[in-house]
Amino acid sequence: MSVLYNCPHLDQPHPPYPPSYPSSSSSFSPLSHLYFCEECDAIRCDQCVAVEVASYFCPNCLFDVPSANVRADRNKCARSCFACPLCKTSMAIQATETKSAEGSSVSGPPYLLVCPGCKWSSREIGWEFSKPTGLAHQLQKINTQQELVQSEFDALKDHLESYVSLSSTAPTYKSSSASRNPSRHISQLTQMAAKALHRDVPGMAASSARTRTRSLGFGVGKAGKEGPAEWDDLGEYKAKGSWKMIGLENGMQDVETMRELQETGGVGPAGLSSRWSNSWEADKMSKSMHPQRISLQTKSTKRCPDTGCRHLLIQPDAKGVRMKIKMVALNYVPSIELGRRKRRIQSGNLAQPTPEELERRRRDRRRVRGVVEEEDEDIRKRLQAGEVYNFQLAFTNPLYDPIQIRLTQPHQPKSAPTPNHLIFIPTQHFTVAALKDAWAYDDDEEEDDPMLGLEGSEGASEEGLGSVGKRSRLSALGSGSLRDKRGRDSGVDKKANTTKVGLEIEVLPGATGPVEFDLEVRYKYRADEPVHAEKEASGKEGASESIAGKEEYKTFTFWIRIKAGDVASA
Amino acid sequence: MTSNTAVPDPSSAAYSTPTKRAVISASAEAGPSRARPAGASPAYSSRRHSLYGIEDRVIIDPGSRIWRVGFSGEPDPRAVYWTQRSPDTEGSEAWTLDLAQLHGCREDRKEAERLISARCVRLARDAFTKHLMTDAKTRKVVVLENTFLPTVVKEQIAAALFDNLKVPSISFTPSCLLALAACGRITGLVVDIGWLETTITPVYCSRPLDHLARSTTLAGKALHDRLRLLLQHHATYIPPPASMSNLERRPVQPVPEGLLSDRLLERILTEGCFVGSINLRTPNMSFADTSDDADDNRLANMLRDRYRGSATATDLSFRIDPPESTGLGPGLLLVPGWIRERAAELLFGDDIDDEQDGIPESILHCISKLPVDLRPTLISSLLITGGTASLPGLIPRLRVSLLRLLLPSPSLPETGHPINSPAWRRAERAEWRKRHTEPFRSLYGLSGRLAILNDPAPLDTGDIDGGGLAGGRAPRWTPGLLSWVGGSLAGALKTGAPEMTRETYDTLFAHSIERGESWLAAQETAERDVAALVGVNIEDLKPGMAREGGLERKRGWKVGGEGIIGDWTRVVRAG
Repeated sequence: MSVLYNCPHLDQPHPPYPPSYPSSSSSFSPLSHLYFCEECDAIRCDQCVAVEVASYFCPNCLFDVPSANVRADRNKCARSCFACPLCKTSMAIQATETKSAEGSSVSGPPYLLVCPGCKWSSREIGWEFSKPTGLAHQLQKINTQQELVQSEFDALKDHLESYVSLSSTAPTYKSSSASRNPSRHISQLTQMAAKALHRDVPGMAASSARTRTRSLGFGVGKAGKEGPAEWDDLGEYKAKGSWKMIGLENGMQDVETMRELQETGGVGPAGLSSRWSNSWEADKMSKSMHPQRISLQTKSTKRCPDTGCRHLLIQPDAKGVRMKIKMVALNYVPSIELGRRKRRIQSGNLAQPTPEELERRRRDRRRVRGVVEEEDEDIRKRLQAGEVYNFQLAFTNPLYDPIQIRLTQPHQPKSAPTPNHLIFIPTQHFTVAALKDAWAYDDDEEEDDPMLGLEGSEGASEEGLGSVGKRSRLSALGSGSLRDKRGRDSGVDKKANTTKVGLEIEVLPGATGPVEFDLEVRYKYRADEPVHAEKEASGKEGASESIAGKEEYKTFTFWIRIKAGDVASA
Repeated sequence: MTSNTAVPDPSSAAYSTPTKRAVISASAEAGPSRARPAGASPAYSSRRHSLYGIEDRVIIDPGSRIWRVGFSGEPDPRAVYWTQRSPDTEGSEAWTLDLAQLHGCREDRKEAERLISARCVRLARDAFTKHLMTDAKTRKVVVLENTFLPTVVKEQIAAALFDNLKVPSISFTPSCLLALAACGRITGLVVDIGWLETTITPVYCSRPLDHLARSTTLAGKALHDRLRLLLQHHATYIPPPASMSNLERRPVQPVPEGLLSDRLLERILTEGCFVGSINLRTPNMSFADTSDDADDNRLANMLRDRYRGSATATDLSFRIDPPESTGLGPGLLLVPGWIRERAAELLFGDDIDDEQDGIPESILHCISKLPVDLRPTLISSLLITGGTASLPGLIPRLRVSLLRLLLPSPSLPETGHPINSPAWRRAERAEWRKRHTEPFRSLYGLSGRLAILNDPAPLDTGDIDGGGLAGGRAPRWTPGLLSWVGGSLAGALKTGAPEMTRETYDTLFAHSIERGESWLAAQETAERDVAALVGVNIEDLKPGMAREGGLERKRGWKVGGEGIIGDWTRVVRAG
């Protein structure tokens, strides 16, 4: 059960691909994860906003790390926060208890890192600290492995640098980088040819031949350090820590260990994720894994991705947990919830229905509504194929004006596979009252607010699925006297700024997998100030539909994806 | 073939003709650094220099299953992460070699492209916001490009980085080159055993010989499938007790299908599997055992018959969470030792049913296609990279398998006939003829030079003047991160493949869109021309109508002047 909202990313609003296309799911997120740009009048999501890091902090000790230190610390907490190598819990620092002469126990150095979860202690790998603070700094002195790796890396860099700088000083290279047009290309070719002609013939000139063969891996034993002879060659690199140095026996050691392995888990080889970011070959056993410093996290500033807009959507306060700017979609777009599942009691007729049959049933259902029996069901239960379910969709209005909602099902692309269910929306048009202070709603109950009029529930259903009411909905706002009766009839339930409408889902016989579908929600609200047609980002009809008069109305269209549940496998 | 075809790039000319220019070479960007003398000052080579500031590049090694990201100049990547969050429901890899095979896209290539695009955006954003925690707009990016990276994927990665993250420049650098650079070399035969495929790319003097590269699908994914098959049939699952009152635990075999999730297989592979020494037993093919109708079952039983006798590894049990938690502890999966030791035999291609060449054969095929003067050099500088290559014992086993293929079969036939008797001669002749058909006979002379640079157990014997002793001389980087380390080095040296800046990309992109639009417009006018000429809309033209009704000509083409059907060739402009 989930209701996800579509973010059009930077495109013009358009119906997303149906759920049967897995690519569409990336543009749907829960409402609470979405932002809203007022300038562009559009929903923005985490996949499209521009993110800037505002500050770094350690999630364990909550220390705000200055950004200057972050790079050197490799985005990890440089104080005393470590994660357990086995279970990733953050570790506690524990003093060693020693019995003093008087018999009372005294705690003091050495200090150890102990995992509160699995009781792993850093004594197992020989880590003991003299002070309980700044462990990461103390560790740098103990742990020399990192420096070995870094020195190998630096040596490699120096080695390659000679090649890079040589080949870049070669005249042939310069001409190739200077320009890429064909004529220069040819001239470069001729230069190459000339150079090749002037080059020593291998085997004739001894020195050049020797450097060549050496560079290719032959004649390893030749002593003497000489500069690379050719611009295009590289001398052999002597690794500081090569496989050869460890030797044959050690090389096959890990195979033998694996062969003799008796147990897995904490004593066997460590899992992939605990060693996949170590580029230097090391012991694979989990008992030799080291605690890792805890990764920092960021507070980020998010901006609208539109190149012409770039307004701030989220700006955190560096000092506290509040936001300076917070443009979340929750404050702009009605929130929709799915609930109250009912199952229709079937009366015989379980044969495989034909399309005409289904069509007829769909019509029938409407006529006999109210007569059929339904029973409440737990919404978490799996759906049964071949059953008809009734859900309630609750729309909550976050705006200070009442909104008019039109609910339709978007059209499917031609090539889409047929869905495993049918949807019927009994009430396609309805209003949701404005957000007010709690006590203001009580007064509303008495007075007959014309804005709450519910015209069109019947008219729309007559027009059928996916139809757009041709009449201006606003012209009908005045006739709200029928509200009570009709509201009950179509299963519309109104309370404060929430309106609940029904939704029928027929899970087709033989269906499997999740029952998911998209709905198009279009709502109309009173704009604060008159808007110009070109500012209307979302409305296809936009401002043109708004009636002439004092009040200007705007429409906003978005798409939601509802997952009603999974069909139980037969 | 990989080249800069992903996005039309003016510099691709320099790229497709590699003899003209080393790919590792100072880029045009590094203006001031080129004037430096060769023996750089200590201030420059110190790593402190690049720790701060914005010169550090972001190195991304995008795999179909695992991405590795980090900053240049650092020996370890900052983060390594899965591409798929739930591999069992959405497929274990972010893209496939054949787009139509992508999980969930129903053979619709357009949909597959959209899916890959969405995944690339998510992965690239995760890299910058979650793992690197840096502003993408100021960082140049080096993307490691596998030899056979599908162009679509390359395009989508470029689009994600340029359009969504607005990075200033990307350079797609061949990963084989960088793997060699991490070993301080520019020449070698790089064998990348990854997830989707194993690619074998010869590199000579920093030029990848792309046209001689090969690939085979014997890689991580195939290994996973094999392991799943074997575990399903021959492992034993002991579920947790059903309830507190009924503590009996009954072993289940075959293992329930839903249990062997992708991540569990990965765990068994990394925590329990290794590659045993070569299986010299001649397989006793028991095809009589066809009582089971299921093909899988037959294969699984055959493999068991084959391997069980030759393996010496201990059986191992894995604690696993049952699919539906009962609150009564984990279940146990008993993995027989022979599976642990022999699951990876698949990669060496001695399957009975399989027609496919194993990795050793593919390597030798690749070498035998090389120019003769490159063969000795490249056979003594094999470099094995890729995540699957981290399996313990895989590299030594590969060496043994290669050597076995390179040794000629015994020259003296053991026939029992007296030497030089006619029967013996006949046998000898037959033997020689047979050898003539052996595929790698041209490489027999090179067997002494065979050396794997990152061989963890290098041999001390071999041709002294050949390259036989070169084995194991590479620094001890793990095979999975070799290319990444090379990328980090290249980034620190400010070299790499030609950079494409965002401006270039945007211009090219706009240009391409413009061309598409003008093509559409031209097509429209051409259609309108025809309609004007014929007098009817071309859409309404029915079969045969062009021949009647005032149109005298049968053909829509006139030699000299205006044609009846507009000159469609003019619509498609060259260039």
